Amino acid sequence: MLELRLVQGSLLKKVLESIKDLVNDANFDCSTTGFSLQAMDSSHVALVSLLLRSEGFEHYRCDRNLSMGMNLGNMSKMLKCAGNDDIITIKADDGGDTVTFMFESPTQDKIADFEMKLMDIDSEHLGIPEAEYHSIVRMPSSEFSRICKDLSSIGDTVVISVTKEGVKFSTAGDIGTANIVLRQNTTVDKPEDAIVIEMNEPVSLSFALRYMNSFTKATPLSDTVTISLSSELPVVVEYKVAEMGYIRYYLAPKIEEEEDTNA
Amino acid sequence: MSSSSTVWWEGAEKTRVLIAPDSGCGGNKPGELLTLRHPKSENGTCYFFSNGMLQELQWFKQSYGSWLLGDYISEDGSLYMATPVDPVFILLPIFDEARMKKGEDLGKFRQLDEILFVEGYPGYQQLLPVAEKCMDIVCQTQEVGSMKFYRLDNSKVLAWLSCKAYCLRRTLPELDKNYAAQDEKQTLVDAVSIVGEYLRTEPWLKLLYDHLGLEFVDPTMKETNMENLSTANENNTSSSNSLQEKAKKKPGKQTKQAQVETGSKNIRDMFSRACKKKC
Repeated sequence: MLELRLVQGSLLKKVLESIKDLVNDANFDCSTTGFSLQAMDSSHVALVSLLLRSEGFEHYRCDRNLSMGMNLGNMSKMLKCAGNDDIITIKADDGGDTVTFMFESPTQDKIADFEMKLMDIDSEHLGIPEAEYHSIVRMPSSEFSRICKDLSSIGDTVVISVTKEGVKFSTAGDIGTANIVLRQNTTVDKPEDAIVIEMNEPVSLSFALRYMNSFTKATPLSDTVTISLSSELPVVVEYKVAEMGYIRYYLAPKIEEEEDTNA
Repeated sequence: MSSSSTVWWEGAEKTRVLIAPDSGCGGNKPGELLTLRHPKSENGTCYFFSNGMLQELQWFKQSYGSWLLGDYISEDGSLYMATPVDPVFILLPIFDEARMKKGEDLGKFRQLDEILFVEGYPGYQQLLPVAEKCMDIVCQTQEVGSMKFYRLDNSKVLAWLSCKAYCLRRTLPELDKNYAAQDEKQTLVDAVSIVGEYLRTEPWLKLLYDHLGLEFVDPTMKETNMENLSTANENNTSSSNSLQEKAKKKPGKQTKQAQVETGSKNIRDMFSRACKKKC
């Protein structure tokens, strides 16, 4: 029996909006640690990893580890029916083939429940190694979203380079080129406006912008985004979810023109 | 047992294992391999023609493996499977070219042996009896005495393609309950994308999307079953088995299919390499 009650239901609504365009169907895994999901997009270039810790729920009951296969488009349709202030409860019976979403208005005068059929999804969980990243950039999420949107009007690929000068986002296309450089800035009024660049080693990687623009759908979840880069690894674009977890997007870089094949 | 590649008879290069439908031919010749143009990519592709049935070939290969066949070892551990393919798909581009349609002018009526004469691809001529049987459905025909003339007709082609898509839309849910969780429109979109693997994007696939009132989705972005589409060296000699590699497609269980993203690495590979380094 599964019953998870989330007072700040809007978090779950935003989470679905952040992943439904990247992944069509995925398994939500419930355990005593929390409610999580790991799924690749259909092209196997991007991976999203979600965790909502059990501590963040007002009530968290998960009798046994459960994997629920859901069509994210359908789940999003149901969650759109929840008000932004609603309390959302997820319920499922062990061995059942449906999941129920219950939305309660904060004044308790309206209760809605939506039941959805579950799917059988073969999913493989990829091992994501713990790594020391060459460079880590933390910046306002709205700024990152703006940069990705602006650059995609010029080109399809963004080159992200971190040097001691700062972080540079570049692209090139038919009409010309664009470069945006951000320098470290920690003297700001609000900590979420700061740009913090931790560079252990300079790094420069190219990525397909269309995935980045998919990731920035998570901007409503967090004021800041953390981008971790390393030459031999996918980039990690992380948005924290209130106090209860994160959405991490992993993206494989573009294949370089002259690739040396010793991996 | 010797581990060298074993040759069964003189003149053969290598053995391979092929599974094909029993064409019930009894003593007849076992069928032949024809090199024809793939309807979508236009590359020379191997097809199997046996007892009047045209079949496409799928190639499954694991990294390491060989076949033990009786007392022999076949070094090439691939499995080839032949499955029936609707010859109309294969002949459609040939008929399209043959009618020489220009703009509003509907083109010319032509006889089958002319239509099937394709420069560099003698295999089409073997399909004459097949074409006689099946191309009426997408052509206008005229008979003059004992001679029959064919001209491809767009509205008939679209009707036939729509029928294919609708049939698929009806069949897919029977294959797996997952399609019940999906609305009909999405199942139709999936069906069209399967049909689209046998069609050139221009004009046919786009026309089909229009005809069905669906938004055209660039097939190179949509799920195709060709992540590892390293098209095997296309040779036109029928003795070398030039094949198109297709990953096995299971429309039922939602196994993730990789698609053709131009130029990005594969994230699953990156993680497995990274994990191997650590372990």
